[in-house]
This record gives sequence, C-alpha cells and structure tokens, in this order.
Amino acid sequence: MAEILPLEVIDKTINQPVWIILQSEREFTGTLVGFDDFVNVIIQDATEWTTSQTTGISEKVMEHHGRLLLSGNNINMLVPGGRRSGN
Amino acid sequence: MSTVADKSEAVSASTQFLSDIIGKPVYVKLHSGMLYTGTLESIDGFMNIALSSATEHYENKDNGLINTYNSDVFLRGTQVMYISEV
Repeated sequence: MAEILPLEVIDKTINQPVWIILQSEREFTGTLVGFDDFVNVIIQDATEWTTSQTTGISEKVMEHHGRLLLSGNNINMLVPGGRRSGN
Repeated sequence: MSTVADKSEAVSASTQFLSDIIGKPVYVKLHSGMLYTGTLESIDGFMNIALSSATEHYENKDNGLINTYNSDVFLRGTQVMYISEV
C-alpha cells in the first residue's frame, strides 16, 4: 500500500472541482488548475464566499471568470471534489 | 522521480500564469477586503504588485467606488490574498 504524500492530495485534484477554506471566514470554489511548493493555488472560474463561523451560512462575494492565483499564506484546508452539498 | 517532475511542472503553472497576465486588467484583493482593479504592470515572487489606473472598492465592484489612482500603485505582497484575471 503506497503512502499518499500531502501534496499528492492536491496534485490529484488538478482539473477537478476544489473547495478551499482560508484562516479567515472566506472560502473559494472552482476548478484547480495548478499549485506550487508554497501551496499558492490557481483556480479557474472561482467563486468567492464569506462564511459566518457562528451561523455557518455562506454568502457569495463575487464570481471570477478566468484564472485566480490565491496566496497559500492563509489557506487552512483544501477539499478535493468541491463544496460539500448541504452547505 | 515523477514527483520531482510534477513539482517543477506545477511551479511553472504559477509562474506561467504570472507571465501570462502581465499588462492585462486584473483584480487584486488584500486580506483587509479591499479590492483593486487595474492593469498589472509587474509582480514579483513575494506577490508584490504594481498596478496602473487602479480603482479601489470594498469586497466587490457592486460596492461603491472608494478611490481612483492616476499614478502607479504598489501593493505589498504579504497583504495580497489573490490576483485574478478580469
């Protein structure tokens, strides 16, 4: 059974839907197109959300068309497959 | 071996993106929530950014215009949340 490296999880998500959660109450969804060693990520057609940590309700901030380079500095979690339904 | 190749390919994906968008209109958002729109003059490895003809909004363009800058502006890389194609 081969070990899965942390960055392999990201690498396997390339060209697939992704859900990215920052340290602040902010999230991004879209298609992951690339990343680097700092875990700066490039997302295609990203949607940007703010999520209340008390109510859990997400509000759309804006939709981005084209690519978006998100700084890896404040990324907390990256979820392959996109936003969980029910959120 | 393949992971090394994957990594170098991935690095070029982000550097490729940066070289692709030089001279194009972009959105830049800072961690404060301030959103800047302008023409990308240059960007470095620290994500320091120079914009020309920048306009300033809070969070998105539907919120009112806060400022326009006629000179080039510098945005500090440590404060940049993202840079996006318009």
